Amino acid sequence: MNNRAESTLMIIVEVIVVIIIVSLTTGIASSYAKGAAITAATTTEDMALMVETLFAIPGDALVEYPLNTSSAYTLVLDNQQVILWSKSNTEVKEARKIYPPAGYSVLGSVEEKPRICLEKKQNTITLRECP
Amino acid sequence: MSDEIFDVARKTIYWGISMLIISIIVLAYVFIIVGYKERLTVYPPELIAELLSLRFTNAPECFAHQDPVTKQTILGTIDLSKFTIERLNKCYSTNQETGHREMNFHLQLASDPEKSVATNNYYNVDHFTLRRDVLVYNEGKVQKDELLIYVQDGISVRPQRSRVDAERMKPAVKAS
Repeated sequence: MNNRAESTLMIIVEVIVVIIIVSLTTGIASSYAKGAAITAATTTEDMALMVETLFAIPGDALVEYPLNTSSAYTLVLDNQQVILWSKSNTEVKEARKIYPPAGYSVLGSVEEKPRICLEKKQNTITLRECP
Repeated sequence: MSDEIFDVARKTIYWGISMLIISIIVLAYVFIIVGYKERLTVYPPELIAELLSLRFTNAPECFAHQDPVTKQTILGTIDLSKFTIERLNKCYSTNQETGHREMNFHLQLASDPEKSVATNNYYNVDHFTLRRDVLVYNEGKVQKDELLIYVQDGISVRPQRSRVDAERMKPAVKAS
């Protein structure tokens, strides 16, 4: 094979490989830099800890989640965990476990609402849109 | 001819090593980014333990004392008649198989170390201790005390329980 053509071809292949690698790494870094994954993780953990705190409150309570990023997410609550996912970015999904005392019901879901609340009535904690 | 064969072998080796090194670099980069995300979203285990353990002294379903007449729950109290393993298991319990990876607690009253209860996957591996001033209600008497909460913040492998621990973890058998 012609040596000059071969070395040119090698250079082209190497440049393409470098471009692919740089694009991959930049894409990964930028997705984290946008903060969607970070926000989803912290929102889910916040919601789980808020539910745990409500278990410790005797009587009824209503508490609003103070951060207005919930319009981008769907949140679901059940007796075992808090689950969050983003419809716009299907790769963003988080879940955190909760530990309800015996006799407690934990339920509710909100889908892309700007204000979300946790309400405790008797032994039931409900996730819903704020009134 | 031999030069061409040598060139092919050389380039094959070069590309093999290059691809391996590049793959390692990309994987290392991904792990660094993921680790960075984990560090950004970590919550201090002390905070999580504080919030999880609030129920022990504030929820009537756990150990908090409730006025028998008004049914009002008095926060920051322990009703000694409720301070049992059965009550604790109803108040807070983890999965029997995987719960050792989650947070578990051992509660003890400072004035009487014999009075202690532990959650179902507690294996005497204490990562840190919370202290809480409480009022202890016992047969109409109130006494100031300190509740020691030994926190086991998840262990990867479930240790073998010693016979003494197994006996201690059994629910108390009521005398007939």
